[in-house]
Amino acid sequence: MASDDEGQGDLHAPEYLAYRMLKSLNELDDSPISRSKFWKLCCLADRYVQNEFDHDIGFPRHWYKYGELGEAHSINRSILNAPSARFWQGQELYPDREIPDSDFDISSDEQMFILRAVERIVNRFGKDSVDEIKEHQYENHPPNEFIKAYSQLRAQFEVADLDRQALLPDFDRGGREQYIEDMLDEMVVSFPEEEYGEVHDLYLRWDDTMRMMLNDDADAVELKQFLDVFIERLSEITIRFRHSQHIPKSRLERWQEEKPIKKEKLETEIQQKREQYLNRREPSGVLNSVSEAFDETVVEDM
Amino acid sequence: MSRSAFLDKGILLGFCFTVDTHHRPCLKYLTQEGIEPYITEEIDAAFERNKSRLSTRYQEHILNHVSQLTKSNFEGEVGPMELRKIRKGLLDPGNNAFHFLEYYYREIAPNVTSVYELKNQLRDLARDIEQLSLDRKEEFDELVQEWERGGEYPDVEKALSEIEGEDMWVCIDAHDLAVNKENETELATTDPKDMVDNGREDLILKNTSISKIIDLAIKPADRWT
Repeated sequence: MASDDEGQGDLHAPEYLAYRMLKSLNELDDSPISRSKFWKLCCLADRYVQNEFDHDIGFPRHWYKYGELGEAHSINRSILNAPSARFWQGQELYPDREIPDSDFDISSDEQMFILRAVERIVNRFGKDSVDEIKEHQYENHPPNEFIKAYSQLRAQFEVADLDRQALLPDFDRGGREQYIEDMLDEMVVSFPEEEYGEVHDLYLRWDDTMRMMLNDDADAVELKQFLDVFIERLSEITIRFRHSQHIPKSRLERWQEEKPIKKEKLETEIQQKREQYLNRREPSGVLNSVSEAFDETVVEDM
Repeated sequence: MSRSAFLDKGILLGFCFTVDTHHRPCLKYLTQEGIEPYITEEIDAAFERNKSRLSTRYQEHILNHVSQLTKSNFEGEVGPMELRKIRKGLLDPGNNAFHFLEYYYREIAPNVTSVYELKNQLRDLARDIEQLSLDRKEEFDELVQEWERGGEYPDVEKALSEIEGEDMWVCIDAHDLAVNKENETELATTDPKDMVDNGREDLILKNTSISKIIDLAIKPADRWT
């Protein structure tokens, strides 16, 4: 591994890839480079090196929310200059300085693999938006079908203004509610129960809350926000552990420490949203129709 | 003349988590004229603990069953044969919600016409269960007042030492209430085994200022009638 958890240390192949990527993007045009775009392109370049040259340069990356990112805290960030962005919240990136190739501790083969990968990826994706790159990632490299399914649902919320019925082609059949329910069903079918077992019950409660919101005509903005809440926490609790490579032990330990806090937060967030919708719901009467058997169960468990 | 009543935790559980059986006598008791019900200050924590243990757990079982149904090959219309197959293949007898889900499939589900409707009813059941406990807790909070024990009673503690753990402290709390109230104080419980039977009632009444123990447990003969 090239660096410690503070982003310091020597310069190795992962730093070379990051440095070359940044330089190439910088030379491509004058547009500022977002962190998100930069780290996603680094992942694509690393994948290119692995697939085309069957070589692993030890680049730290992990899946997070709707795409794959380079793990910024796990490489030496002294190569990056990251001032506040002018056109969005966050930072824009530039190479910090000219660094001669000889300053990087890498073999000539690795150097060649990385240069080719960076050239290829920048040519193909350099002018694409972050959303286009994200879409490429979940279409082509999803760790599983569940991630693909939720990313597609998010993309639908982003592209279609559902409340104004500006519809995508598939959206028409059966109306808004049915369409989203079908996508939620796709998520249920593809949820990897064994792999994500620790969030399975919470996931089912989240899924049921989404459906309750839909029944109550919640708008697309609120549905998207509630999807984002779940996916962010899912990423922090499970996804970044399960779908990652070359993350330093110290970083994994820090994530592990945060895990129970993130899980508790998710529980609270789901519960608050459920109560908001339960409060204005009329009981359906199904419980009353099974009340005798239900009460027997409760008394038994009490 | 009004009287005070200290409630043990079972009253909260019976009131909030059962639809009818325990709820009915608890409601009748709490709303009778002249009664001032009190409850321990830890009541919210006790509610949350039992909500996770009871309604949230049932809900998880139901939602898990619905997800198994979504993953299965059952879709479109359902008739008696499909319902039988679902009961046999997808209902887990080890599941806490099994008893009332079985009842649902036997008595209610035959009226549904599609898997979609079936899943929606099951989701409604899960939501009803959660909603029931939340609504009931709100109602309960309006009927009762919190009592915070002010005194220490080492002699009473010693006298009641055969009553284990939490139940003994319920008696001490009720005793503290009785000491501080001018009117009579009774202790209402759904747990006769620990508070009434085998000489417990005499032991408690003899060693505390509690004037009466009210047993609100559902007797086997009262059940499901």
